[in-house]
Amino acid sequence: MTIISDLPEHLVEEIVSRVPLKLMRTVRLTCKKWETLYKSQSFSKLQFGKTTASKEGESMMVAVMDFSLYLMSLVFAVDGEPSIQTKGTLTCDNEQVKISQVFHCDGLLSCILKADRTKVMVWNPYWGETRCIEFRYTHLTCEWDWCSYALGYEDKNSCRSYKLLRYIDHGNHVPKQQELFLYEIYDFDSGLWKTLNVTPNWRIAYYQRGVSLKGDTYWYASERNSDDDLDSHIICFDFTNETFGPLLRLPFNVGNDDYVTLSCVSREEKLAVLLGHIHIRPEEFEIWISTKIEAEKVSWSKFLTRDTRPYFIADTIFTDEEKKVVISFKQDYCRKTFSIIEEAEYCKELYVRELADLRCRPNACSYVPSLVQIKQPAGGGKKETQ
Amino acid sequence: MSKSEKKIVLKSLDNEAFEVEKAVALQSQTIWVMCEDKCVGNEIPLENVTGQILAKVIDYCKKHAVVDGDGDESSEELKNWDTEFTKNMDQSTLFNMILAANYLNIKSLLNLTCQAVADKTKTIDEFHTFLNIENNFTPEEEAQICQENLWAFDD
Repeated sequence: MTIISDLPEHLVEEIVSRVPLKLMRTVRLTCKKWETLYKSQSFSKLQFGKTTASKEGESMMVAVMDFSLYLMSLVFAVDGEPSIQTKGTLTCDNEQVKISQVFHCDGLLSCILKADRTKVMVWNPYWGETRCIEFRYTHLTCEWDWCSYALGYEDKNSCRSYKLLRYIDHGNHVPKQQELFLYEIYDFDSGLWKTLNVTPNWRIAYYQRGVSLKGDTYWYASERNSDDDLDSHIICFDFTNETFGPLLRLPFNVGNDDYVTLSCVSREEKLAVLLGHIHIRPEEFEIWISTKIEAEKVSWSKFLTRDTRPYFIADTIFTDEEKKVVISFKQDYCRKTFSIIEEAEYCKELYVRELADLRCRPNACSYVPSLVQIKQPAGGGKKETQ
Repeated sequence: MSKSEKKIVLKSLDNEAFEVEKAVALQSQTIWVMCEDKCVGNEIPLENVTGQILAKVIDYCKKHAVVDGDGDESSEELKNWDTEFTKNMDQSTLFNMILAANYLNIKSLLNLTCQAVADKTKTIDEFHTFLNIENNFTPEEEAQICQENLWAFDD
């Protein structure tokens, strides 16, 4: 009688790495040896290769719609129709989790819970691991969460040290009655929050979502003391130095009828910025891509200019530099649908779903699985359960 | 090439001899290297594999050699055959097949048998019983892992 312990280690790894990802929790719970195996580097790589081998032209994204978090797959077939598919919905112990905001950085997602304003969950969907981060101040978000969140990291001797930025700034178009101002950062290593001493000369509208790029986060921003709501700048939060950089000039002027959308390209290496118009010439837009980008300086090159019909407000963009594909989510309030437009040689609308709750502004970001294991706070265990 | 050169004899651990076509046996990289080295005659002793397991390995290689040769069977049929092949194997046989595929270095057979073991286990109990593994977690450790892994993208 031959049993599994008669097999050499590498053959056990071969077997376990073929267990579907969904059963990884079961695998980890099988015995201590497997739990150790699961955490080993060599196994991670073996498993990662087997389970994330995606089809050519397929990219993953996560989207918040109706306060639920969806994993979606976009396929741009070279000679076929583009398609979009929902791969899963976030659940916790088989119950759907309600999310109001999501931020992606390096395969980790920070999820702001709709019903519980006392904490944020950071999750690696690939491993299934979560870390619960409790807020120091919960009075900031009593009725509506006006806070903004960004996840980033600092490279520390070949290992990444993750941090979460949270801020609320009355200068950022937060309603006047919310005379609140706080910039704080949470360090995953120490498990502690720290207030940042900042005197902003910038303003980031509360509805602007940051984009993670090489560990730092970029937002569309304006000069704090300018009268115009719109300005032609972006700003970077440097997670290594824990400081905001200077306002960086966009390659175009933004007028009163314009809007700007940021996204990252090519696995978070470059920043793409879209300039669109709301009323005048709404069918036209242009996209620029950074050629060099750091917290303190940026240079741009024009990627494409389009004239699309039907037109849409591109509030999320996905850009694939090589294939020259641009896609955008569009909200159609009349039909309550959330559709996607692909912009290659033509424009195509793909139906995603009916939206039931318009209080939840749908948003999406690209998602690239990673092997990052979320460090649990020293001392282990959480104070409370989700 | 004379008839005898096209055939090869594989001898198992328990001295069972199998005469097979060379093309069938050469799917094993290990046998291929042995033949290349010319350090063996027409008879190859395989010291790690029993006759019972070797017979199954040869069945597999015969099936796959035919298809690779003249392509008269679709890959779909071959896939079904593979599924049937491992379907009724008990756990001990599967492990022996994995060991044999590893020793003989037949990549596709190793993939097939490892996948078969992975597919036969779905619940923790199955992992424990089918794979003969003892759960050595304390309830506290188990709860900790469960707690850390509650979130998932479900269909």
